[in-house]
Amino acid sequence: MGRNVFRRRAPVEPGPRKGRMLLVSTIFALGLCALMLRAWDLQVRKHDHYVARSEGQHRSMVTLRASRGAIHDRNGRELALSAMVPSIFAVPAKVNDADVARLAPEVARILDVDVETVRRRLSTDKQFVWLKRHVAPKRAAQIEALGHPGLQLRDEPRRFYPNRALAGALLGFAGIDGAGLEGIERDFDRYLQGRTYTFDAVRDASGRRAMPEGVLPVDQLSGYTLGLTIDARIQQIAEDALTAQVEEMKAKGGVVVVLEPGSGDILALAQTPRFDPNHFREAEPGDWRLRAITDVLEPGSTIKPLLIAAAIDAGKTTADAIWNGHYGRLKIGSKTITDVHGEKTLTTLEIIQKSSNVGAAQVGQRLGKEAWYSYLRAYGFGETTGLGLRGEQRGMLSSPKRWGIIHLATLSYGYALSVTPLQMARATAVIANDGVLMRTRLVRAVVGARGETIEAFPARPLRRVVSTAAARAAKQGMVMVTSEGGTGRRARVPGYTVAGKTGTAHKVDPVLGGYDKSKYRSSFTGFVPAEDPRLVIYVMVDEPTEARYGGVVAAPIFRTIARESLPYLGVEATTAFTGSLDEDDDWEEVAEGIDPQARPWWFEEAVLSGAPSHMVVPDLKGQALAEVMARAGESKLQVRVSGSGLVVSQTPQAGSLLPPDGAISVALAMPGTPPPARDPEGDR
Amino acid sequence: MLDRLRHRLRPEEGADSTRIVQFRYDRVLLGVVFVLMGIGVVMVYSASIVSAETRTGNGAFYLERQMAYCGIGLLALIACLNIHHDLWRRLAKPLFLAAMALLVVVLIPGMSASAKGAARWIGFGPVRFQPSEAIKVTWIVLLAWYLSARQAQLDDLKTAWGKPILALGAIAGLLMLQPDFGSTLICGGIMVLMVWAAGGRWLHVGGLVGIGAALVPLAIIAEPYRVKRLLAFLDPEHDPQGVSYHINQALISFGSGDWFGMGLGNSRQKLLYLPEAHTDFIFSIYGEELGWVGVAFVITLFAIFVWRGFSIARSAPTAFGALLAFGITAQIGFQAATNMAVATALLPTKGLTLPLVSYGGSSMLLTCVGVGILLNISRQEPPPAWLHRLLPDADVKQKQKKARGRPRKAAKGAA
Repeated sequence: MGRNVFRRRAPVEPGPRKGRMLLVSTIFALGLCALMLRAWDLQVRKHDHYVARSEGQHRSMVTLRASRGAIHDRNGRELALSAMVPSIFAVPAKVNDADVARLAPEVARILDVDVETVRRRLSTDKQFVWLKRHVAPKRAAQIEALGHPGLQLRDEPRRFYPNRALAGALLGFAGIDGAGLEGIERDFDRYLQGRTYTFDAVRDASGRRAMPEGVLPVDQLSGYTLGLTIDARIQQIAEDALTAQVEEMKAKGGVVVVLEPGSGDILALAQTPRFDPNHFREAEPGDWRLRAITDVLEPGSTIKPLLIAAAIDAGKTTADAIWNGHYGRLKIGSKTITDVHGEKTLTTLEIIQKSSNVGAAQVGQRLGKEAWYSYLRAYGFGETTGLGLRGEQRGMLSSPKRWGIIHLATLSYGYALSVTPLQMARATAVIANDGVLMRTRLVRAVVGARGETIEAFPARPLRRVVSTAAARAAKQGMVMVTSEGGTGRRARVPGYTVAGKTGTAHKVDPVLGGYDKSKYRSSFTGFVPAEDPRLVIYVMVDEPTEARYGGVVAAPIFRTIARESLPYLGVEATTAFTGSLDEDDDWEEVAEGIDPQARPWWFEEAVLSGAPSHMVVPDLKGQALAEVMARAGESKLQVRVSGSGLVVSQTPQAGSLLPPDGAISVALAMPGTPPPARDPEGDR
Repeated sequence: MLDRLRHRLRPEEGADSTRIVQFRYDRVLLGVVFVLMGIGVVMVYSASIVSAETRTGNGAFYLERQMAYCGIGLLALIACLNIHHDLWRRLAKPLFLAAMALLVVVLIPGMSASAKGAARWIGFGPVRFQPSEAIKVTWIVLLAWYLSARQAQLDDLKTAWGKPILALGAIAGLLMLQPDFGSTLICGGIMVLMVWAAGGRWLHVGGLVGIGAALVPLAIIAEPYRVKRLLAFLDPEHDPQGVSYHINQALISFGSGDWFGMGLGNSRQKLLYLPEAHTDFIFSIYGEELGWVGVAFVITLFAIFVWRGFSIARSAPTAFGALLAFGITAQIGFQAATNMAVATALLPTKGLTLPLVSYGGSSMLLTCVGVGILLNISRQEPPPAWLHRLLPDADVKQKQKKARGRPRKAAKGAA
């Protein structure tokens, strides 16, 4: 110890004072105890509070929206489909001011948007802002090439309507977030909407999600496919025929309804002006409405066959009963009813053929108010057709208690009530269908992602309206309409017997009330072939100016549709056309040389002209989905799509011949990713 | 291993078996330090994996560095364990001046690497060093040296406080230019604590602390971000997405822990919600993952650390050693307690690391240096003879100077 120099040199009171150190230790110990208490308070006592706050920020109920279901026509042709396309968004919080100045013009140029808008959006301190949604992959790649972490891509499903304006108003459209906004897209949204799959995901502060492990059955979550009764081909035919005639007649618009009488299926709902749901914003919102169910009009003379059938069914008259024609003038109460062509006498069926108001008024009087009213209800007037589409009108049919004597007369020839084109078409179908009203079908089935049927809507009869005999008698009258001496001769289709009825109604003047003597609705309703009706076609042309009679304005549309659709449906021509033609009828050249035994004329025409039955497959490689769809719409191609991005392979190969019912399958992939394994060229 | 190393370095003492027992360093303290470092490495990895992945693409980025820092720290610890602490007394002034010089260097724009508006690091190529960590240790050494030489005169206000306050003023001035409020507070607190413990008068301490307390609000008001932090502290839920974001995230993290935590690696707050999760706020993530039990464990470890440190100070053979041990222990303990208090919102946000646990090379290195010195003091050895030869005692020199006094000065003046 004596050797320890160190200790010897130690001062009298070395180091910190013991008492004070004890004090410091005590305070420190108390502090640590306080810390433990505090920790207990936060972690155990207030645990629930903080866990709730924690959950609030990391747990996000992630809603995976599977892609929207497709809409197919009755033959599986796609009318609407969804595909993934890139959208560009920014994380402005990650973009500093210098970057904003540098990136804004660049981004604006690539995305073709306003520079100031981009600048403003990037200058916030938000975590998320859309720059442009649904952009072409080319642009997306350019944005990606900028390589800024604040600019990001997200694939979003986008709705395509490959046939463009075809059945646009019927299909309606879905918004950018995949919710149906109009038409079938809106009203069958619950089927089409991809199911949302909600689950807990942990989210980091920048908003990215750490997804739970495991493959999600997203394909099983995609929306159901809606199988419509619409036949895209007939729809196309109807639209083309209507559009052409509306133009020719310089009319305001028009509606065509095509039904299959046996099943009640709607084959086509055409209207003009048309609109393309791919660009619905460019159309007038008024053109979005489906006029076949939203427009109401007075049916006019087209109602006469229904009246005759009802009267025969009620036993009030027979098909060959003779009626006084009153030479075209009949005074009922204070009102005089007139016919265009006055007759001395008419048979019951000639009332249909000549479209005699005088005759119809007398038949109506004999049938009586109550009976005619209940027949009209039985035909389906005054009620919706039950399609499930919003905005469908019931039409106006007042109670018979309120009908005066003149009402019964005018109701007999189609005034004083209003109906929708669809109601008129299906009432016509009752005659075609031997007196039975079928439930009107628009959707055949709802099909799941793996082809399983989710819901089927079988055709089913609603009720018998008139007896078979009565219906057949009225049908005979309607056949007479298109025969010699009838008003609807221009509806005749070479090779087939057509039953129909013309209608020309004054329009109600919305300002003056009462009828506007210069504005008409020309209509034609009928079915073909009369012996075994396959098509019921109702045509209405609104405010034609070149002509006004239904037999001149609307009947040719019927003819065109029937002429082109019947062979397509494989309905064999049954009769050679033999009757003589009116001077102004323009179908002599078509009528010539028709042989019922020959192959359908359209077959020859299609093969000779090379379109549209066989076509050369275009090269779609490298194209974006939107381009493919546009092209497919142009040439009425059926395209089956898989993947997203750009087309990397297609079958059949470009240059090969595609049969009329053939379809092209294309596989898409994002640029830079290896093509799918089934592409033989892609794999090493 | 350390024993063997010591034998190699001091073969003449290895021959005396009783000495070996006597000179044993404090193994409890070393054990505590190892456990804390281990927890630190694991927690740095857990807390940083997401942010590392995001920033660098390598989830183990901070883990790898922290392990390297631990290695460097352990080497420094072993070195300091084997260098007699009396060396620091003799080098107190130059070391302090060197650290001060580094504080000046960090303020030179070209030399510093700044983070979040504060210039705190000096970059030497890939290596970055935080001089404010160095000043803490050298400041304690300087104070221990100064106070141990004047323990008898500490009743005198001027002797006890005059020079230390001047020096503190210089330190504070340089630190606040960075600005580094947390380190300034630590240096000030350590000074008051050491002077008082060494024998400063209660009256003086009370008065000075009062003046200091009056200055703190000024310093806070001077910087808007400190006002914000204080407001955030006073009402954490007021603006959870704005100024209170940090403390709110820390509380959410800590509060989610419950008794046993969410399990190691299961923190959700580390998903980039809690900023500085692996540095200043590692304790929050720790609390979230290991719960109250884990928190109590770490608090206990620091309590043991302080207990061992103070007992080393009590049994230190010299006043310098005792004061040095007291200062180092108090600094590490004080900083740990402050950090934990900040993480649990008992104190406003400061920007202090949790010693031995938080990610950070400078902090790890100098804490290890401190621990090494502490352990060396615990050996209670006399300074080796070579130390006297190499560096003649500064106090002896001073006495000689005083003895010669005027003649020397006169001579100088004449020259």
